[in-house]
Amino acid sequence: MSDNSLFQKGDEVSRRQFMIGAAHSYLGVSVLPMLGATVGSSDLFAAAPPMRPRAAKSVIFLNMSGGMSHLDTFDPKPENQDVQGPTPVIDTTADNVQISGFLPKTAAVMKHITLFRGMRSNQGAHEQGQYLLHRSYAPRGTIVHPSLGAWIMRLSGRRNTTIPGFVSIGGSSENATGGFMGAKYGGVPLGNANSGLKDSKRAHSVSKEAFDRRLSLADKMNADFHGRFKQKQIKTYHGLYDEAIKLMTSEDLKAFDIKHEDNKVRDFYGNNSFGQGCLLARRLVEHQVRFVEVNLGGWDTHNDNFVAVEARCQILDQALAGLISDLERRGMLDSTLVALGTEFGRTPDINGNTGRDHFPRAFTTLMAGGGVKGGFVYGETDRKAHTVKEGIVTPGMFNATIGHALGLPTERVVTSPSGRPFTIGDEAKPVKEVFA
Amino acid sequence: MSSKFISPVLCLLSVALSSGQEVDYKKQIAPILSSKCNSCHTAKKRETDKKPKAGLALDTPGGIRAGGVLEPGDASSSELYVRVSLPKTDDELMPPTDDGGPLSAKEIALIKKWIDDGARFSSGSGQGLGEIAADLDVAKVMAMPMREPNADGVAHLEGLGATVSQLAVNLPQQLAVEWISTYHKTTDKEIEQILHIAPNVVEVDLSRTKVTDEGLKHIGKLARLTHLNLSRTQITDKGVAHLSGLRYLEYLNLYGTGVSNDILPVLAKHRKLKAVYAWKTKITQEGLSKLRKALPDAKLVLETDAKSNRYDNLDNPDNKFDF
Repeated sequence: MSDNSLFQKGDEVSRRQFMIGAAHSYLGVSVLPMLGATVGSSDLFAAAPPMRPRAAKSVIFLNMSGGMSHLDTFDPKPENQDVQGPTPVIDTTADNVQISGFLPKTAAVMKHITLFRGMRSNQGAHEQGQYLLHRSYAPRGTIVHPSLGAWIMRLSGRRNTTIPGFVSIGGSSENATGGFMGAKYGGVPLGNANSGLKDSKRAHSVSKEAFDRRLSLADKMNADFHGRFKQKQIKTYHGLYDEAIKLMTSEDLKAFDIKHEDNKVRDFYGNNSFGQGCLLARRLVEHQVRFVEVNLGGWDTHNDNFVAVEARCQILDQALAGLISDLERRGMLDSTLVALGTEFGRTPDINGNTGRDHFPRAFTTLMAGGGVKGGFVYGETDRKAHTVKEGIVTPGMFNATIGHALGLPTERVVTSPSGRPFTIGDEAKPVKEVFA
Repeated sequence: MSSKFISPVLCLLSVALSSGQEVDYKKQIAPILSSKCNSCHTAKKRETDKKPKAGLALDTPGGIRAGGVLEPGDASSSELYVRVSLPKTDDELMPPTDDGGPLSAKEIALIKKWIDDGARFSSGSGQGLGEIAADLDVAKVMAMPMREPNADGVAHLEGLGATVSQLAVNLPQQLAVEWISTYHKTTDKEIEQILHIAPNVVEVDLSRTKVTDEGLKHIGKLARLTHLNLSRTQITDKGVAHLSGLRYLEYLNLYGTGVSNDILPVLAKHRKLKAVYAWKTKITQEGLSKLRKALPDAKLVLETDAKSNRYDNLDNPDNKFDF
């Protein structure tokens, strides 16, 4: 209400963000923003114990951006050809659960998956829908809400304190924002899986000896200054150097490099950026990264829906089935929650361009591993997938359920700098029925 | 939000404190919390109410961490400090005025300084080592009921690169031990030190460490162990034989190790086993079918989705991946 509410907007460009941006642009140093998540860390920023034992330790969030058609993927209606169109339907390894014939490999791992067929959103445009999906709140002019990964960092911290706890692969960097919680809870956006972590290694022209010499010289020059001005900002800045050096010399850096994987394993996930992103996500989770998001776009199928969705499904099918199987045979599936979300579904009625339009009233998302039931369906749409008959789940409930899988205190209130209360799921309760 | 309310007296006090040495959690902070906060904010089950107030338990470091009330290094953003430093008239003040609040100016200043200094729960690691090094005979300690973990043992192990964490907020005595960033330099020598906290250890993750069959002798002494991850280590059948005493074992991950069907009779005796992972080992499908008879309800994973027939061609034990 007062004039200064604008100044309290949490995500304005801070001086540090400005410096990071400038450093990136002029010096080519991109390791700084990723350290946003690590600056000021101490033993306390390490993971807090979960609210219950044997909770999941990590989340891999697969973001289907553009609005994934529910009819042509996980909620087919074979008895109603007028809405189903030419998309085939197949049985799965779960009794009485059928999905789209475009997803044969996923059908084979359905026994690990819980479907949420009663998803409902109140946002029908992409940007707003993605915002709600990631943050549980609708966008408002006066505040930037933190994304789900930032909530997880805030409520429980990092398990591996050498590398970032929140990484977002592909997609919009908005998905990695710390919002009003600040950059330190935000994620590290990676453009694509193959490039690894940019500028995280010593430049070739600088030998190890020269590097160490420069550091010790810097220490000497700084010693007097640091002795005289014991301010927090100075300590923080120094901490940034320490963190960077710790990371540059760490064994964990290998986690970011999928070139260490055998070609057969790389093919197992599909040789495309989403598949390789999922492979990278598994590597990061092996190194105890808490939250990894991988983006697959191209679901906005207003035209030629059936051709376009089949092509998307080929990529999704290989990567999703590959990821779930790979986690399971490594003994990681019970401690890793795989969640797949999208901003909305698509109209059951097929439009004049053989396409489907935006449809937030009913759509499907899923979870696998992390303690959720396998071969389970929560919620149901009517016979034409037009509306949710039972088991409505909002994006806030979905996010609270992810929080619950990790054993986080989902009811915990975090107050924004402007003094307003927020929770991980906008006060929504987790859907506990989906847990085994 | 709150800084403008903080009285000048407090500011003076914090200045006076800041020149002193570090605030000690155990000696200075924990007593404040236990006398002023823990009557409501406790993880211990009380008769009246099974949950701590607001889901926040302030009686253990784990509870405080899980509470999300701390911003290490920044007291003014930390709810733990903000809520106790509000003016008397504020509804949000903790503890409430009719419940022992507010805290004294000195107590508030101590909390502020502790958080501003990074909110450390232990002062330095590896401390008190001399005291405990001699006590590696765990047979005696194991007989004791679960008790508060040996804090020096925990600090010692953390000093050696281990991450020691509580299983859950309401199970502060049960510990999980893993070597997250340090697995590549962790050997039997470091692993042996786990015996200092043996009575409390229920989960151990040794994946990718340099543990050997010999090192598993120590693990075999952790009588309360339920979860053991040995994936991608050098261990063989000989090592697994040392685990026969682990009566409560539920999860055993052997993926990527040198074990063979010969260990299956040993595993068959672990009646509590719920999941065994054997991908990329010498264990065969026939072997597992025999084990299935002894453990009808357990999940035995050799390779996933044989049914789909798609994922079988990866099973090549010579194929060493670099992780």
